[in-house]
Amino acid sequence: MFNKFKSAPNNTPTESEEAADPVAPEEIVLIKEEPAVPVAPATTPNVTPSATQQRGNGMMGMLQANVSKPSILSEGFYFKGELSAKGTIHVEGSLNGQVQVDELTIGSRGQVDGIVNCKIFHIKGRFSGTATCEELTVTSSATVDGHVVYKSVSVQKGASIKGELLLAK
Amino acid sequence: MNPTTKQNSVFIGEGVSFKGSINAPDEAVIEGQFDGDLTVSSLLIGQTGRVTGTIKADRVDVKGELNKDISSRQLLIVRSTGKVNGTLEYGEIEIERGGQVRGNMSQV
Repeated sequence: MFNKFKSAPNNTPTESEEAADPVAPEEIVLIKEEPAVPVAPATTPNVTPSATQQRGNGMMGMLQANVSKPSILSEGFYFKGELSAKGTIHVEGSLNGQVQVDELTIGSRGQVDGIVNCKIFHIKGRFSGTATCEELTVTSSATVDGHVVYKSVSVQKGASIKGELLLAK
Repeated sequence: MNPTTKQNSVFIGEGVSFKGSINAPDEAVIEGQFDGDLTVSSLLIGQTGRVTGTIKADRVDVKGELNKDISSRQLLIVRSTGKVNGTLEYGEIEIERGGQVRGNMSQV
């Protein structure tokens, strides 16, 4: 346990800054500066169990974040215009316009109106307009109105789809 | 239960091709080919089934192919092997991943 605690911050120095623990980062810095024994035992008895645990969570969070860092348009946010990005966009607010992105998720309170071009398209909220995607997922809370061109689709029971679904070749 | 002996129901087996119109109060199971008008309560299209025409049903479950005008007043399920082309009217819809749907859709 002691070794783990000491080696973790050395291996991933950047991660310690992101670990959402207000106490841990300071201690990590201390340990890094002087690997001598006196400081470490003082901190470890109280903090180690929770700190290692949280660091573990932080690491998981980082790994996931590296896989797909979603940009989030949160609730109450209204965006109008052209949006182009690599990676993931999660919409809980309102988006109006042209979107080009790898992965687009419309959250249950999100609303997207316009032209969407993406690889993976998850709809939990409302979508109207024209979309071209490879993988389309429509969940039960979704409302879709418009043209959607897809390669693979799955629609959950309860979803409302108006308009045209077209299979891309 | 053997579907061929069910009351108020019709079963079209694999290899059978039918042209015309069917009105069945209960269930239609189609494993062969059907061309024409079909009014039924519950329509089940098997993996080998192909249905083309004007379809009116309460519930439709598609594992095969379904073409033209389709009206499913309650629930339309497209299974992963299913293919649906045409104008779709539905109460509720469910499409399994892999299912193919091409056409205009509207909710009743």
